Amino acid sequence: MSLVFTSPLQKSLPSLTATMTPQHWEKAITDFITQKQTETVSLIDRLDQNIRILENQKEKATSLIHILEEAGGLTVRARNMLTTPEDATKYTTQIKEVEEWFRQVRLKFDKAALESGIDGINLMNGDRLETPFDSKGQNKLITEGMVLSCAELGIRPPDFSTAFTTQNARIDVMNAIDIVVTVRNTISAHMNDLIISHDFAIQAVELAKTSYANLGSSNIDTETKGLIKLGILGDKILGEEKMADQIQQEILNSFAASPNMEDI
Amino acid sequence: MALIIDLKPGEKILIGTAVMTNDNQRTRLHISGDTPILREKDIMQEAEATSPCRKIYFLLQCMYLARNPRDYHAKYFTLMKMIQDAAPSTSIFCMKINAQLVQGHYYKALREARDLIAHEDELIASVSALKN
Repeated sequence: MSLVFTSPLQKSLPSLTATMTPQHWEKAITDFITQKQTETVSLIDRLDQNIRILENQKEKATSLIHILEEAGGLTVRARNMLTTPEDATKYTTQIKEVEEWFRQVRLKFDKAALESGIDGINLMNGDRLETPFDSKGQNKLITEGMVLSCAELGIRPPDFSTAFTTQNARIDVMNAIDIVVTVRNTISAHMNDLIISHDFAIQAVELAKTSYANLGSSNIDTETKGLIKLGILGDKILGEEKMADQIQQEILNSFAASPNMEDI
Repeated sequence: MALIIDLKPGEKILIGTAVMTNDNQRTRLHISGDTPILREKDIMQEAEATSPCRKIYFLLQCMYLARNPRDYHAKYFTLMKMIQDAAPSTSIFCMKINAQLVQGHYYKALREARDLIAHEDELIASVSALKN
């Protein structure tokens, strides 16, 4: 029986030759699969670790947003006490009290941001998380953090002496919320990307485990027959449903139906 | 770094979810960002996926275009397992395609899938040649 040997196969694995023994052929392919499998297993470990870090950092970003919402609530409270020019004098004590609470919330925010780290990474304090997808680190996903302190976010110390300065404080807080929400969205998007890769990698390793089974009995005759047999199943190969979901099918249809030069 | 694509007159290209058709002169596009890009020559319609390995290419293309590629993982792995069981030598291509997919490189995975299709074509052609 002839060994399976095609030009694409040799291009993919140059150590294969048409004249090698079946044992050497099997070993070359097995070694290749084992190497890729090992790389994928180690990638899964890295992904596991970084997904855990991103999950944690997303929660921390959410906590920071809650603190900022608390600060925003205080600015509303102060603003509601300042509906007329006389109110600043009338409610001096209460306004000072709200200013003090706001000051405390600022401190709480800065402390929480500084203490948000996990495993030496704190995206809330300007760190970056790198997720290398290959052993050489040539391809990696970088999640950039930001220094999320009141000073960096532009939240000024409280001055609720007038409606104008109180409104400024409110704008500071709202802008800061927007920034932290953006950081959280970035973390969340990267976490989703890593989860997709992680799920795929686990299934890829499972598939790799089964790929060794039939290598020993492989020859050009059985492989060709096997592929032709699968090909006969045609569109039923994956059951009754279409391979493409509706949205992807519509994209492909629109491509086929896009206007030609005469239509423009 | 921007991707540079030269379009021939009348050539179509898919960028994101939009299909663009070039006018009657050559055009050079500089494309930045992270969105699916497929040239006319890369596109395979479902009706053209006439063999098991072509179906793998088609599924990869769908993953590339999908907002959530996970929707296609089950179909992809089921079919890849069937192909691998039928023709164990395809494992090499399967591993190379998967290595790209794990990194989110769908376009590169499509390129690897072209080799898988070429392997399948060569295998089947070898039997036809023997019969003749």
